[in-house]
Amino acid sequence: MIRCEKLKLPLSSPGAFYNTCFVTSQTPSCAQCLLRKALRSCHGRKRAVRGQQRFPPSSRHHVYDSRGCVVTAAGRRRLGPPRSARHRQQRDLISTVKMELDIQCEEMSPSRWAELLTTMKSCKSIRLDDCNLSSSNCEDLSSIINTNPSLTELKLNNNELGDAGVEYLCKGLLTPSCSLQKLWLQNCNLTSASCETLRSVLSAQPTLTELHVGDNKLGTAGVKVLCQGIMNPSCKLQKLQLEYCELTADIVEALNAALQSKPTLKELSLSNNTLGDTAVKQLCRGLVEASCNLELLHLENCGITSDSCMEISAVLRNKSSLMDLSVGDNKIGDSGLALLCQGMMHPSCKIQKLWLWDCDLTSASCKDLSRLISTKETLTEISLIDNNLRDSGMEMLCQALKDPKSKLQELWVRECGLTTACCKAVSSAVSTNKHLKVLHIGENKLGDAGVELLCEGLMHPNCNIQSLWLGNCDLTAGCCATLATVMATKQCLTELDLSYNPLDDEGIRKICEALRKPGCNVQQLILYDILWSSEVDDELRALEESKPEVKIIS
Amino acid sequence: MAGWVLCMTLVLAALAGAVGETRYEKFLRQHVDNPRTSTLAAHRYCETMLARRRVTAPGRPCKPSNTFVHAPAEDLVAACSQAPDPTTGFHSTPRAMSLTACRLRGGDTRPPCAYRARQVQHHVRVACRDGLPVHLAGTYVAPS
Repeated sequence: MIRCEKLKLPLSSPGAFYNTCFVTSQTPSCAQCLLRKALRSCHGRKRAVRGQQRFPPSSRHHVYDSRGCVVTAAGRRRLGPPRSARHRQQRDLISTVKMELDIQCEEMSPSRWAELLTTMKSCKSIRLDDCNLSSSNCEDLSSIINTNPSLTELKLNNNELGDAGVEYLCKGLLTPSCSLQKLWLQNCNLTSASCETLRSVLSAQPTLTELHVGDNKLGTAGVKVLCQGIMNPSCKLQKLQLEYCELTADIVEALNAALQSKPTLKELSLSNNTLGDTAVKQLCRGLVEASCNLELLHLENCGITSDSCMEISAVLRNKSSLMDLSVGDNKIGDSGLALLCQGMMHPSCKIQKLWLWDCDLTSASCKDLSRLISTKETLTEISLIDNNLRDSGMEMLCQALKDPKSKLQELWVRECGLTTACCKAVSSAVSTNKHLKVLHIGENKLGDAGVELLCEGLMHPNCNIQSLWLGNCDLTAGCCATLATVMATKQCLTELDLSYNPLDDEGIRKICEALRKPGCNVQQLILYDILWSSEVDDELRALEESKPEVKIIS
Repeated sequence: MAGWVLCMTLVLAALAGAVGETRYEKFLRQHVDNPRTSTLAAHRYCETMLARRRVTAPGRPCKPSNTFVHAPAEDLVAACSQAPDPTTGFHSTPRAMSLTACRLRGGDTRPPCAYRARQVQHHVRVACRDGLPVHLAGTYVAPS
């Protein structure tokens, strides 16, 4: 049994992660050495570890910091603080050469922060996501921004910076030498109080093209102030992200005014704000009038119903620039979809990416959707996830996919109430349509029989599918031989998802065999939540080591 | 001195090489959060925890669903000493536990991953190896 000298307790109870470090190792001296280093970076209060558990002999070290972040020694660069000074140097050298600092989920000791500040002085892009930063770190960051004119991207999502932190940051952002282009402050505990400072940045910095401030309680009042900043002629903002900002219908007037004044604005996301139909209709009218060439509009979960769809349709018809529209998670229903399609069928609509997930659509929508797929040559990506399309609906879509005018590349029909019955049609579609590259069809009860049919179509020389998602489709080892044949034959197939299927050791072994074949080009094999034996586990690890271009994700 | 060198070599080898983690440790990493971590934005529990536990990461597709158990690991280990279900081989926890079920919202499987969180009190079904849970096989409401 290994004993932690510093904590003076037996290292055992595996469940006690939070505020506790635990280390197991085959070499006691190594365990202590690792623990000492890990403890230096651990900030949380230590509490006694209770209980004793057996560890399998092949245990290796596993450490968690005070917030439950994994701080384990792993090959990936972003995991945890480097354990040796030499490795730290190497890693920071790499960042300096690339001029990109990218850190996620790492709590910083003061010495580590000081090191990073030195690196940041010459970085072009800085991303510190969920690093437990606070307003005091912002003071330091402010002087970095001040003295680093080459900094173009600053991403500080998921740190409790607060309004005080943003105040500091903006001091740096307002210096004339600052040429920051992209600023991300999502989920930073900002309130409307931050909006005044952000307004001044928007007004003063013409280089700022992207502002992402979602997941902050800015509120309508706060965002109205932001809009004032956007209206300033110096502001050349292109992308504005305001998801989950507690906005209400009242915001639309200010938004429209900002849009009117800003021809540079290309992307607008207002998802997850309770706007409602009246506000959305008003927004759409504003968009039609505005001279901006909006390319992306995201209005997911905005309380939209079929009532708004006439106006949204008008935007689709009038804005040829609009390439990416998402109205997912709004109950627009079949009647709403019909109205949207009217606008989309217009020749001036050049829609490329259309997201209609969880929109209360049924097979009745598939008639209009089929017409869209088989005529709109600009349409490359469509998501219909979590709509009860059923086999009859899917069969209609498959028919449309066979039309030579269809240029669809990505089809997302996960969780659409499909069964084995539609698989013949899907098979036929993939063996005809040469453009389809990505097919998400998981969470449908396709079964082994369905997948066998699908594989027939996949084997066809016309089929160019690169990415195939069959998670949770009631598949067993029974279909794995056929899947293995597809994997070993179709060079175009580079990504395959078989998660949540009870494939068993037998099935996984067949998949592994296929991966070993030289003809197999699969680079990413996704196997979330499948139960297999330790022997198969070892086999998968060995496979990854022998074929480094293959990533097995579980 | 030799011990130190050995240690450094092992550490560097571990850093350079494959991820070192047993299946039980992985089970704990992906499924046990006790006590339940409080997150700044309550609606972001799933996004925050899945990122911190390296389930979601840049370059990895979003995991469609994941359950976090807010109970001591000992309780899940104890389930392994219960008699397994004869058909499935899975073991059930004798008591219901506090859980958060994370479900991917219909957007992309490419990060950033957006989730819906549901808090429930369910029994947990696990698969065990060598007396330790290695796979979360599902949850269910106790029949009353």
